[in-house]
Formats: sequence, C-alpha cells, structure tokens
Amino acid sequence: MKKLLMLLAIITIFVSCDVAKKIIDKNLPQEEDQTEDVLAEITGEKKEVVVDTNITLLSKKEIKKIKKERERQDKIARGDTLSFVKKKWYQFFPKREDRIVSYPKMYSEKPKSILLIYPWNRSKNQYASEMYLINISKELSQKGYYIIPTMLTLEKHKQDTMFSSHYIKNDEIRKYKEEFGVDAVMFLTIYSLSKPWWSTNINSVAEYCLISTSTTDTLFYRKADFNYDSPIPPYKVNKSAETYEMEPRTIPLFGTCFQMQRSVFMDFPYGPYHKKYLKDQKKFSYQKEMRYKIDARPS
Amino acid sequence: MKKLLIIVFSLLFLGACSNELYKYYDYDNLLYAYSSREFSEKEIKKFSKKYSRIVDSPKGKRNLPPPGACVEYGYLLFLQGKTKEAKEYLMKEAIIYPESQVYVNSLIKTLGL
Repeated sequence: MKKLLMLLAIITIFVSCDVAKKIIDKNLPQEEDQTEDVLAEITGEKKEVVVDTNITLLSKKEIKKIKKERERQDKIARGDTLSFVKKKWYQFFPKREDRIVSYPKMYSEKPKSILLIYPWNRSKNQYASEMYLINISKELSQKGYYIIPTMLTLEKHKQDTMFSSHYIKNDEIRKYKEEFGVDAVMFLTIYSLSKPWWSTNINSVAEYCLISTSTTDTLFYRKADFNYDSPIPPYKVNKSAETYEMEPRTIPLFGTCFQMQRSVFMDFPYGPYHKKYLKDQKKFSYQKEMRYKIDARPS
Repeated sequence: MKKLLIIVFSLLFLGACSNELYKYYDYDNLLYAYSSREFSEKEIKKFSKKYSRIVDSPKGKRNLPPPGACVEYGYLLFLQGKTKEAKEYLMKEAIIYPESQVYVNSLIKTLGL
C-alpha cells in the first residue's frame, strides 16, 4: 500500500511539473518580429518580397554523389592527385627526384655565402643551439660554401638576443645582405635533442630553412627527425691534452648532432669551393620531411 | 704478410680518398668550450694558442684555413689587445674568401681597427 502511495505521489509530482511548465510558457511574453524597413516607409519605396520557393529535395544517392565530387575537388586543390595504391607505393619506394627538381633556386641563384642565424631552441637542452651551429657550419663549409664565422654569430647573439631564428621575420632578411654581404640566411628551429634515461636511443628533431637575401625565396627546406641508437659512439672524441674536454654526457648528444647534419645535408647542392659545383644537378635528393634512424644494436 | 700489405695499402688508399676540403683539428671542442664557458683574459690567451693550429697549419684538399677561421682568430687576438695582428688576419680572410669582404670591412669598423 505504501509503495503504491509513493508511486502515485511521484507521478503527480511529475505531472504537476509538466503542467506548471506549460502554464509558464503560455504566460511568457512571445517574441514577435517587429522590425520594419523604416527607410522604405519614409521614401515610399516598395520592396520586393523574396520568397524562397525553389526547394529541391535530393535523394541519398545524389547527396553522396555531390559529397564525393566536392571531396575530389578539394583533393585537386590541395595537389593530392595520386591514387591510394600509388600513394602507398611511393611511401615505401619513394620516387627519385634530381637535385635540380628539388632545389631549382639553389642552382639559379647560386648562393656563395651563408649566414647561420642563432637557432630557436625549443628543446630542453640548454646548449642545443651551440651544438647545431658548430656542426652545421662545419658541414656546409665542407660542402664548399663560405659561412660567416660561428664564434662571432654566437657573440652577436650574446650582445643582442633578438638575433635569433625566433624573432627575425622574413622581410628583415634583406638587411643581412648589406650588413654581412651574404647571399642566403639559414633559419633553424630545434624541437628536441634528448636521450631519455630509460632508452639507448638519442632523438633529435629540427627544421632547416635557407632563404635568399636578394629575393627572399626559400632555397632549401628540410624537417628532420633523427634517431641514433647504437653502442658505437656517434662521435670520435679528441682526447689530446691540448684541447678542452667536453662533458661525458654531452658527447653522445654532440655526436648525434654531428651525424644528423651529415644526413640532412647529404643531398645539399655543392658550393663554389667544391670541385663538383653545379655538376651535381642530376644526383639524388631526399624528401623535404625526412626520418632517419641509425639502429645498430647487437642482436 | 700478404694480408698485412693489403690492409696497409687499402688504408693508405682510403686515407688518400678523404673528401674533406678543410682540416678542422679540435675546432668542435674549442668552440663548444668558448660558447659554454666564461673565459678570463689569461684563458683567452691559452685558447687562442690552441686555436692557432687551425689557421697556421691548414690541411685538407684546399690546403687553406677553413671559412671564418682567420676572422675568429683575428677576433681572439683583438680580445688580447693585439690589434695590428688582428687586422692582418681579418685582411687575410678577405683575400682567401672574397665573399667575406663586406663582413670583414664592417667588423674592422665596429672593432675600431
């Protein structure tokens, strides 16, 4: 009996709530569209009343067809014209592209001197920028380019911290032609340079962008994700008494940085001081975004 | 004996095939130390002595000091107050690498040499 009473009470509460809501809704002032065309009233003009009468109902098949057509047009606009099979094929067997196709402006503008702007260090390593700068300047010099002295680039950054890839904008590049007399400027963003304690792998991710100082066109672009996982040290340490020793924990990081630059600039066109200058146009080139992995752990 | 000879010859051959344009010696260690430490005047003297090998005994295919080395050495000499020698090295860079002319001129101006 009690249960029945409880049920009845609950039902009456629910019903009363609904009734109350209806009453409130009825008594609320209704919003009416009272906007009038005041201008038309003053000038006495009569505006045509546009009535949207042509509504066509599409079948599911037609809607699907339109959707497909739109997706196809979007793909063409994005430049994604390859079929699924071809895309997968090129993913595993990338198409060989000559350097003249990949870096046409490097051969047309022929830069001779490069300024390495202090990198934007987004990694957690305090000295990642220095490690990158030293290794890149060496690598590009060996490729036959004139690189503005790294020591003085570091000094310039010490004096003015705005001299960094983080702050310099594209339209400010031209001034470096007057100040340093360089043909191109390299911007660098370091995303990571680390070795987790639980792993033997050293990971380094960075983005390189070489921009012409005369046209501000991008001459070379690469984003590289480099992994070094090997018991063989990536770098031969100079242990002579005449030099300064690096900290033991920085050696593998510096070495990875060194190996990374070798891989990243492997397909970089040769500079004017190299005997292969302008003769490497038909040699291979890598993709703009690369993943490198040196994995030589003993099995 | 034969094997040893083959190894020696192959090593010599590989050594001769080195594709490096310049010899950097211990440039990595030196520059990394320079960027990560604070050097006193005495230490700068020591540092430039160590650096001098890169400039004064060049090796590699071009048999010239690497790009920027003369400027860096000149700058180190300037920090020690040897302005005359510093200017000489800066001028040497502009002769070896004509692309550096603009930079060297502006550096001479800013250093007041």
